[in-house]
Amino acid sequence: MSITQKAVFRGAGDLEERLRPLLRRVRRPGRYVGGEFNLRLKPAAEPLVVLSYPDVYEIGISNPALQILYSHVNDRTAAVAERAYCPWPDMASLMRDADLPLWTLESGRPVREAQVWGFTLPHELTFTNVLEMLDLAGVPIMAADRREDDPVVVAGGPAVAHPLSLSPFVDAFFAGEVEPWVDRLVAAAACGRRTDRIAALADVPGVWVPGRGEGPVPRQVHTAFSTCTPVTRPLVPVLEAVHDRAVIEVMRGCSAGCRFCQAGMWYRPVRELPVATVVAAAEDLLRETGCDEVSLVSLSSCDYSGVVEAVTAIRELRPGVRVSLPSLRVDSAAVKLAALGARQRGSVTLAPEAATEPLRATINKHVDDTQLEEATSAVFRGGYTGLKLYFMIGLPGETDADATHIASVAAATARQAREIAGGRARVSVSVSTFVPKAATPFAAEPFVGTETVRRRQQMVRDAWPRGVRLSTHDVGTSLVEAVLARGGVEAAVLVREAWHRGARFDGWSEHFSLEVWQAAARSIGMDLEEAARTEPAASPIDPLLDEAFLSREQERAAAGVRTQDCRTSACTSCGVCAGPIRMDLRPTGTTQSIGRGL
Amino acid sequence: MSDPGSGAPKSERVLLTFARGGPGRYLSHLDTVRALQRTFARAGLDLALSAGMRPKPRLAVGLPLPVGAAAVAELAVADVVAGCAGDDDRDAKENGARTGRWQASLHAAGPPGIEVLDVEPCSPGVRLQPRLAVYRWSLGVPEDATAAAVRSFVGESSVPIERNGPKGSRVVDLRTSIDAFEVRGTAHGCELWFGVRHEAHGAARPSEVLEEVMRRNVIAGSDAGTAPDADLTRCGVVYAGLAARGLAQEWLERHGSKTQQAG
Ligand code: SF4
Repeated sequence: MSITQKAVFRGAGDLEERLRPLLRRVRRPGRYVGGEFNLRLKPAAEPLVVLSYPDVYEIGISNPALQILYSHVNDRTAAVAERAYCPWPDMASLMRDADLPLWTLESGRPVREAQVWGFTLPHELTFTNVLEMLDLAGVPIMAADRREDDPVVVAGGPAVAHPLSLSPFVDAFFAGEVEPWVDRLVAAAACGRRTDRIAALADVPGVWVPGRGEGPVPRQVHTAFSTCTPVTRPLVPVLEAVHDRAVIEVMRGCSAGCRFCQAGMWYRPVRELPVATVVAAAEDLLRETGCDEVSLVSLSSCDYSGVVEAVTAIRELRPGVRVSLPSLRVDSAAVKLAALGARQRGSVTLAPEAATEPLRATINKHVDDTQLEEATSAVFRGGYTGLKLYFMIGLPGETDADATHIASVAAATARQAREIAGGRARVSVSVSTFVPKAATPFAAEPFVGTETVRRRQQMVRDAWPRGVRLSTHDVGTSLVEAVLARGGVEAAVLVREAWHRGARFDGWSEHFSLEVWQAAARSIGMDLEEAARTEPAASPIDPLLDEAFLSREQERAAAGVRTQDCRTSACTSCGVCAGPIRMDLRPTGTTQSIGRGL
Repeated sequence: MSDPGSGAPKSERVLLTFARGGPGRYLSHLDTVRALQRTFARAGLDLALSAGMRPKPRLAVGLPLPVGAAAVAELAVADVVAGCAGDDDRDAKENGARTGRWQASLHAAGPPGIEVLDVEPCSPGVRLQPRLAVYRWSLGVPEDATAAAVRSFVGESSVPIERNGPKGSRVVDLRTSIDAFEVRGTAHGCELWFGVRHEAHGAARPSEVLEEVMRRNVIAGSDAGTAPDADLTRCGVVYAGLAARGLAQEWLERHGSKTQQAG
């Protein structure tokens, strides 16, 4: 037998061979060569759309928005979509030394040859990575400096709710859910000259081109979500990734109305897939991915009307298939977990967010202590061995006592867990820091400040029970996130300055440096703490939420009054539902559509 | 290597020959195992599951490959659930048409960096015990310089190196681990071929061999020590009781006298 000459090692073209001297010298070289199952290759197709997630490969490969766009562009349009993720600093420095511009994982061609380069922005701590990727690709970081042969840089994702701190670096922003407009965006990419491409993009609903147009741009809603098929031929990494399972988005939107939650407000209204669609998709996914676990994802999968039916039916597809629900609401977890039966393992995550009843009322979290107890009991009686609880520090109206009570809840939960499951029960707690975000009732709340957060974190630590794992977030990252989430163009200057000074991968504790950001802020005459407290700059994006609703929610928060879930009680007039935009619940796999927003 | 155990009821053991290259070079051993398990699932061939609390698909890859190495013909054993592909008829089983079909569907279902070359039935007791692995480093170093360095290496009675691991350090003698060397000139430099014996007390790693050979390279100068363009391929492996795979057969024919224990 001789060395195979077949075109097997299809995918990377000669990319891997060209990169080999670099790949030998970096951590996890597989990040840079593609090679996934279901990789699409359309070498002759045009235009080239490059899709990027501004973080490391292992995080970006699982991003559902990228998977949706990748499938849609490659399978349903004449264009070709290829990908690039943010090179880890070891690779970035070798690329600069070798003068090698950022390449796509499919054909290995330079990213700067793309007609459109799309980024999905999950949160503000990825902004310096956007600049890093532009620079590594040889594309000028300032949109104003780009030349005719540079790609049009487009950004989408939830961070677009307040895009100002990235606006000088991006040619066009897309606000909202992209599915209805992919074909229009691709058509714009095919418009010859760069200036024509930008002009064509500006005509697509949901697109904001900095410096153009009047009035806020309304975010787009995928009104046909419930009648569409989910991605069933996703890219499946051969490297171990963060999520190693097949994923179905069973529901979009959340109606719980948590006042701090950007995703909960941004993806309204709730739309569900019929159970039959979910089960059929699961069957295709199991075959296409070779996974034995299907994860039913959404902002709150236990609220999905067909959750029990779907889980039962998917389990019956094939022996050994596991189904997971990654996000459970405390108030409905107990019932749903019980319904799922006792074939469970691993751990469950619940997010009470606040430890005391009054604070939960302020943030509109529909959870009481009894429900948390019931959920804990359901978790450990259901066979799980781990429970992870999420809390936040720095919420509006929070007192020191509210924060320290997190330790008491942790102790009580751990005690209860041990009573049920004995020594194998594990409880862990993550305490993050609240960052006010655009398009929420708390958008204008000041960031509580690093000093208060540090003091409360210490109070929690001092009161912490033995045997429960506690993790807290670096408050410096929250401070920066808060500045970028509310800032105007001066925040963009800060991003550029911080990047120039070496800020990268700010969401990673091993890379984040508050000193770098502070120095960058000082150099432009900014005080980070003050910038995180000031009134947010007006966003050019309309999140579709009524101003009246937002101010009503602020008043109710101050008064400690909860607002009901519009799915289970009356519409609370948030303003999102109008015309074709309506809540779409599919309780029994029928085509029932419930619009109550008018 | 994780052993899939002896054949379970209602499953049959097959030997799988695969190559890896391109993006597949950068898979760890566990990544490779997982990618092959996934390839079976995608091809509609169910793997039998191990017993225990966390059942795992029964597929074992013979000898781990170093990250970065291509491979010509690697072996894995897998236990396929009988009848899962719906073609359990006796004729097809006997004339090999069935495993041929399996190979075709596995080939189609594999990821870009892994190619399933062959599937053959084997007895349920087959285990993969490596005896000899044949490696090839492609080097941008002149043939003469490499050949001289190899002569110097071979002239020594032992080439001990210290390996540091989680359980402390230990000394491995590269010299006794090497079966034979060949140096072949190429347009860009040369290829350094060698066989590594796998015995109970451990085997030389290809990177260690290259480093020790290049350390003895006095002609090529200081650059050679790092061999920056070095590129590794495993060309074949000999397993106890099984026919040699890949280019290992030709290697055995040339160097057979020194590798009798390999057969
Ligand atoms: S308009 Fe009413 S029904 Fe629609 S999402 Fe808002 S509160 Fe819910």
